[in-house]
Amino acid sequence: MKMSIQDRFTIFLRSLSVQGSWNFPRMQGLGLFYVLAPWLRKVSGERFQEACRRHLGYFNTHPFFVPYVAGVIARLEQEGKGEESVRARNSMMGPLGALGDGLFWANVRPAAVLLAVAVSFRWPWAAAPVLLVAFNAIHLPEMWDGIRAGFRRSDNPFEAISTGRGKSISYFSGHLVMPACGFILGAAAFRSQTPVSVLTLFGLGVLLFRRKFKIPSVFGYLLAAALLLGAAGVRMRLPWFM
Amino acid sequence: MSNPLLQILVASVFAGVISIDLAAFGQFQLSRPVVAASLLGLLLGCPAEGVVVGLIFELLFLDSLPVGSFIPDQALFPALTAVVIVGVGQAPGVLPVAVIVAIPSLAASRWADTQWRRSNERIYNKAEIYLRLGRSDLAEMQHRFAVLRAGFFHFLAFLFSCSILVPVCGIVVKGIPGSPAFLTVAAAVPFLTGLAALSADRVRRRGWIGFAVGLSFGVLTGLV
Repeated sequence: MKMSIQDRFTIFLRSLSVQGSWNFPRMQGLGLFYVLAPWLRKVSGERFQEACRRHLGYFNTHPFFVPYVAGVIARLEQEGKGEESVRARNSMMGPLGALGDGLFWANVRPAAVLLAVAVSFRWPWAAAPVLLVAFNAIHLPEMWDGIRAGFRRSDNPFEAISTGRGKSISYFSGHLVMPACGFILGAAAFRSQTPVSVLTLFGLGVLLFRRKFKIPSVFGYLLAAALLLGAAGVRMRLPWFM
Repeated sequence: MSNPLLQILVASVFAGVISIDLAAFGQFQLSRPVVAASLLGLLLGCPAEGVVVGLIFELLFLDSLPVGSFIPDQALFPALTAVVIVGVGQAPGVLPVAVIVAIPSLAASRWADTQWRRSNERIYNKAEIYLRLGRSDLAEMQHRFAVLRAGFFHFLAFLFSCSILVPVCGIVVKGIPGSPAFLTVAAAVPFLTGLAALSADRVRRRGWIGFAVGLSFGVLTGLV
């Protein structure tokens, strides 16, 4: 039996809320059950309750890769390979979690944010739309296509993870972050009245962070910075405050 | 909307709804400060300040990433609180004061998040029982409840933190004589903090060539 568009849409929509019941002992366990429930009801027949219990337990991975895991499980459950689906689920969650964190949180999100900030120098009102479009144009298609990819490659799920598109997204967004940082710093510094102060402070900040300078909290850092700047008597006028 | 109490209530409802996007549903990044603060700024009649506050907090929390099971501090509450402070007129023309006074609302955000995740443990146990009884529909319902509870906890926490921080900001502003240049400078620092933290990590990976190219374009843009 093929997965219809309606089934796929249901899994996609429910995957968006996979962290909705995130808790410390079982993490996304109930969320995964919620994602799979309609499909299991459709394919498991009399074994539905048994299949549900199989997939209500500990589970945690990157939320944007849950549709992929769901696709793999959906196919295996359809073929009656219940125990194999549990093994596949358990073996995938760690690698997919690490992959998703590296791809989305460490690369795509900072790139989208920096792009939005860079755009705001010219069109402040456009920052929010740019961030939303840049992030969701990658996030939502990855989730939608993940269901089909997992469903098709249930025999060798790890093969489909490393897609060309994922690699290109990672490469492109990873390489966008530093130029965007430089652009924002340069533009802000030279629009302010004291570019040297801004650049010096930035350099000091980089040095501190490179030396693993640990801040107890944001409050502590702000206080220290305020005291430092106040003592130095630096009067910066960054563009957003003018 | 000129009644401050009504403004705080509206902002709290907004915070509750938008905080669902933090983790419970979607993660479309509607809860990023630049988006949420801009929207709330529009709602409260201070769109320009909303964008500025959003950008400041966006850059401050740029390096705050939810890697693994780590739950980082979220910039949503401080950004929205700062917009509310400006919106109700507690810090007229002194945006930096609003930015600094709003930062303690991080504690309220952390409280709401922890309470929600703890309450989900009970919800999970209930769902397990329902499933054992063969009521999978009720187990699914528990999950939907959990999503809504995320909004409820954040609504309560935001209402509480705003009801303290908004009057506090009024007191702080009155206590500062003359031009608060010192606070202006202090509030400008977050802008550099996030950039420095992010760059420090990536310079090690030889990202400095890209950084130099970007910096050159930035300098040109700044000068022109």
